[in-house]
Amino acid sequence: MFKNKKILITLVSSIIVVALAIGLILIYKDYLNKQVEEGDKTVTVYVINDHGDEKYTKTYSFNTDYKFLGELLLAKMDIKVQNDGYGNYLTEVNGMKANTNNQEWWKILINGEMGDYGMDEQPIKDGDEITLEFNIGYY
Amino acid sequence: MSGSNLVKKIVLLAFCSSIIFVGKFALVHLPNIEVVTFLLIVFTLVFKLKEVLLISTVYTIVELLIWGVSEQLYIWTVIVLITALFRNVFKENFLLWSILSGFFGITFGLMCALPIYLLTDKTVTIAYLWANIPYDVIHMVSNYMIMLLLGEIVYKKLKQLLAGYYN
Repeated sequence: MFKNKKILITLVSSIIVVALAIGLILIYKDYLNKQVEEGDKTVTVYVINDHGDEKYTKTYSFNTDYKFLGELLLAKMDIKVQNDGYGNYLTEVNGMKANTNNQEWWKILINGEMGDYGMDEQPIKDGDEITLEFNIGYY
Repeated sequence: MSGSNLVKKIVLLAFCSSIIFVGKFALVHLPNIEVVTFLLIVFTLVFKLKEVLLISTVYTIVELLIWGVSEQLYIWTVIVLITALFRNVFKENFLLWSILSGFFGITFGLMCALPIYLLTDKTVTIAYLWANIPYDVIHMVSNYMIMLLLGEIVYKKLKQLLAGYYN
């Protein structure tokens, strides 16, 4: 009797944990989907590197129906990404590779501010200005 | 404590720190699935608080040497301290330990966000928290399941081994 009760409580608790997990993921996905803009949009992408011998700046303009930044960049630009299990992140843009041993990294700015998501979850909107900025130093 | 027992204790604590590191390293490619939390909770249940704090400090130093400074370095000590607080309340109820372990998982991103907030700003912190939600969920479920499936077995085996360890 006691063992059955213990099994039942464990089962109920496990179901609650799994339900909580599914609920949180659904809320997260729903929130992401609400940010997504369907249809054609014009997006400007700036590539900036102030750390080379000369300042590097290049501007691109894309008309696209992609919904997320990651898919746009991968399809339209000369970039390389890496995924260490936590989603894609930029490692190289236009041949400029970020060497993590030197704490080099590519920052992504959306309309001048850090994006709220990783590149694959970052929704793009008509008129967005995306900046890919080469940085040195993590803090 | 005799000299030989002291040596035995030092060896044991070093061994426990190594086990945590091996466990961490073995699962390092699985996002947010780890046994560090699990082992620290079990160790807190069988060792004295200062002994577990030594284990977590040694592990933290090794983590620092291997992966460098990160926002999570202080969290292992916090987990030990919170576990110690609940030690006399939860006792040997491993369902409750599983729930606490899951709680540590879901709040891990939040705990990591604290130093990020202090070192950067609100925007970066919110971006970090949002990006972390799916991984915190994985962390919660895996922490809960690992403790539920292995907690009692490992705890009892460890107690049994420790009973015959010292002279």
